[in-house]
Amino acid sequence: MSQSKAFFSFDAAAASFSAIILFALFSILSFAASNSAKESSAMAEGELLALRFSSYVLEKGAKVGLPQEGAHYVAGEIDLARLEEFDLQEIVKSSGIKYASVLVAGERKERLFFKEAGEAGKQVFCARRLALLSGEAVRLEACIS
Amino acid sequence: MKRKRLAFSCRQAGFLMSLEAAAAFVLLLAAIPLLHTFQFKKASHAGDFFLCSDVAMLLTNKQPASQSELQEIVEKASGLSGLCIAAEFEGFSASSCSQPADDKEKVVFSFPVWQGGGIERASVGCFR
Repeated sequence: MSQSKAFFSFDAAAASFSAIILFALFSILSFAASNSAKESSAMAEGELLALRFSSYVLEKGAKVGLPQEGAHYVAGEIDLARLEEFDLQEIVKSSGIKYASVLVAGERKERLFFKEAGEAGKQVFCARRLALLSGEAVRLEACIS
Repeated sequence: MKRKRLAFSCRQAGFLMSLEAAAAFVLLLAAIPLLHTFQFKKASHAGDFFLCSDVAMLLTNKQPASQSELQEIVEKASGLSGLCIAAEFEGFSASSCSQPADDKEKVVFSFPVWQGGGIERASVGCFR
């Protein structure tokens, strides 16, 4: 009758422990990668939407040229009166976003214009743009959430 | 010698352990805190493209007539946008940052400007 003696080897234990750890690490890594990809695509989408919104604001708030010059819009130049007419509430309602804001600030970060509508969520995406206001360069920040 | 001693002490305790296993275990433990250094994200520069095109638009609208005027516009735009800006316009050139942009991600625009009845090439480059 043969007798087998079971023994515990540290090598075998370390190998199985390493295997378990590695599997766990790989699953954590792949989970983190998929989460990160999801977050990145949401960020990219938010940033692009904010950029498109900023272009829309620049276009809607563009200064109108003199009537004798054909009442054209001056690209890159904004008019605060036209921005004031801008109905952000309507944009929030019709586009399905939760929050929208427009900020115009001067060189010394002084607030020249600010308008917001809706309630900002956890993540707010902002796009910074430059424009002319009465011949002076200003910063326009359009945010959405 | 050390290996013999370790094997001996482990055998005495009823285990068998090689130095390789011990080293692998130590390395594994040392690698765990470094996991956070894996980064999947890269800063997005989509906004810089638009900002730089705005600077080009600004220059076209303002039409600087001298070197100092161009420098003033470039510095103002740089302060507002947070970008380093270098511009060439109607023979003048100005830059808001002294460091070179060689190894940085740079957005460059070339655009036509009217000068003395002809079209000339102007350019603006932006980087962080």
